[in-house]
Amino acid sequence: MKPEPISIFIVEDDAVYRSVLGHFLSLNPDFLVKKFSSAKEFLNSIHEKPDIVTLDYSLPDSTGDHLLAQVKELSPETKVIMISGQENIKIAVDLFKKGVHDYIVKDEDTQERLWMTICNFRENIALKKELASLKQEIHKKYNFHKAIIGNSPAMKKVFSLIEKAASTNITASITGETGTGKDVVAKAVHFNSDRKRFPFVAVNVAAIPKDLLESELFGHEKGSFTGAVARRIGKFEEAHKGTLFLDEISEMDINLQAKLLRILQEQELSRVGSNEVIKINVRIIVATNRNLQELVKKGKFREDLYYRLLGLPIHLPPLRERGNDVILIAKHFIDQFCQENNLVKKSLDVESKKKLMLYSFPGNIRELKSIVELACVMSDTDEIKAEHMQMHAQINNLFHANDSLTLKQFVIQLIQHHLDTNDYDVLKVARQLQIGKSTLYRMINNDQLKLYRHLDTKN
Amino acid sequence: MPGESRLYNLEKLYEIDDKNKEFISEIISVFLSSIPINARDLVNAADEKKWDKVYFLAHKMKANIDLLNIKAISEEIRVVERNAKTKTHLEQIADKAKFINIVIQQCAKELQEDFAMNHFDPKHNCN
Repeated sequence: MKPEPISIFIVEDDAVYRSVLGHFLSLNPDFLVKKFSSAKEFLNSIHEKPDIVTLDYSLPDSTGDHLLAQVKELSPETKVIMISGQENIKIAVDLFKKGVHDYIVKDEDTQERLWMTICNFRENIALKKELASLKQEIHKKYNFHKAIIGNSPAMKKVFSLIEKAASTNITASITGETGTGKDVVAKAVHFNSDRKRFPFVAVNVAAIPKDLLESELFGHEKGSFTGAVARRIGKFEEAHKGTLFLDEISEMDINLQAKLLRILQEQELSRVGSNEVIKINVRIIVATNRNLQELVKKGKFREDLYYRLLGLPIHLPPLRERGNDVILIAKHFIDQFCQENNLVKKSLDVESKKKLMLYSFPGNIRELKSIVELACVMSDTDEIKAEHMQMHAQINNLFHANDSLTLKQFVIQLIQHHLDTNDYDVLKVARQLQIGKSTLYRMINNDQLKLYRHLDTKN
Repeated sequence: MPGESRLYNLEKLYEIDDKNKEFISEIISVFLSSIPINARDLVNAADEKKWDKVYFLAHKMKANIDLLNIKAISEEIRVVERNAKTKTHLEQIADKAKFINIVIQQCAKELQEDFAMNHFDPKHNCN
């Protein structure tokens, strides 16, 4: 790998020495050298944040230690090499204590030593730059139009909601069946918001035993309960200035819900076993694959917390309602899998595409991924055929038909499906299915049909 | 030919980049435009007994004198620097400063001559 160029500022009032050092260092094409004759001139350019600066200890308008302090304040990443005309151990020790990175005496070997010192720093600087570029890479990766694939109208709506959520600090609640990518959407919101430079902390509420969740979220003091051997900061504090993503929020214990509500309202918390109040600055994103409204009705989810968390609801459509997106996403996973496993690039044949389009994907994108990855392995050529794909549920069970379904149940599922896909427009569905609207209303009144996004219990 | 009876010697500059005449010329011209003036200032400062200024100038000139290896005054400039800083044997400073100035001005003359004749080539430097 070609080394990154590093920028070096030389601050030296002695014109001859400045030219000598400048020339000497420019002999290395990777060193970008700028020369300054006074502290004032240098400070005017310090916003360029050089990687390295060499300071002459005695300048007409400043002294080395004074200037060192200014560099530390204005450009803390810059490494400072002090060059001095005299060997004074006391001054040198003092400068090292103040954070100078090297101290070189002006004599015959000055250039060589400076060269060595800079080469040593270089590795360190290169690593730091790599880290910074990797961080940027992560941000790029969440350019959500790349991370989330889809052209269907349902997804376009989701994209516009993500943008809206990212531009403000509003709480976002993401709903959708399992495997629809709720976590990806949460990340997309975070990494496109002003908070992207701060942490994104994800907590799966269902994965943490309910007794531990409280200290997991809010932290605890040493000794606050058996096993609390050290002080620990909670996820809320960890996500300071960033985003806290609470996945499967519906699984939260009702007692803890009360505490969460209080914290969200007061914007402050105290760790378990502590009286100290800590201010929090966290954007909350919650996700669930269950119908919270339903849970509220059943008394399993606090109504006040429900409204507090609802914020901007983003509903992710299930894959079977996303039309052509299935093929787009399948292609993406195939390319990705083939590349990662050094396989020839594979494509889907017509039959396999049909098979994908007809399948209901109860496990959504997660299932699609596993199906196409297996198909990549099963196919020996550059083409994936229908027979390479092993679906886990029955094909074409658009309404999850199974053998034990009665005709009446089938009819209800059919109507419900049409309602779901037509934004619960009863009149439209009645027209489409050529049945009377009063029949539909009667079935709705009897709770046979639902007029809102519902969790399919057959799923 | 420069070098035989010259007060200066450019070996250290050649060590840095012996292929680059432009660099050598640049350093010489920067030297000529600053050090002779500094040497005169040194004499004046010594006459006026401004010891801090004497120290500052001597300190700065020291590195240049070493760079061009002007041996005749390499000891003198250090004595002046040290005495001015520690404020000891101040009576010696004025004379030494005058001597330093004379050597520097002579050195500058030589440099100018050689510079004009384009003699700054490592091959010609045989001091």
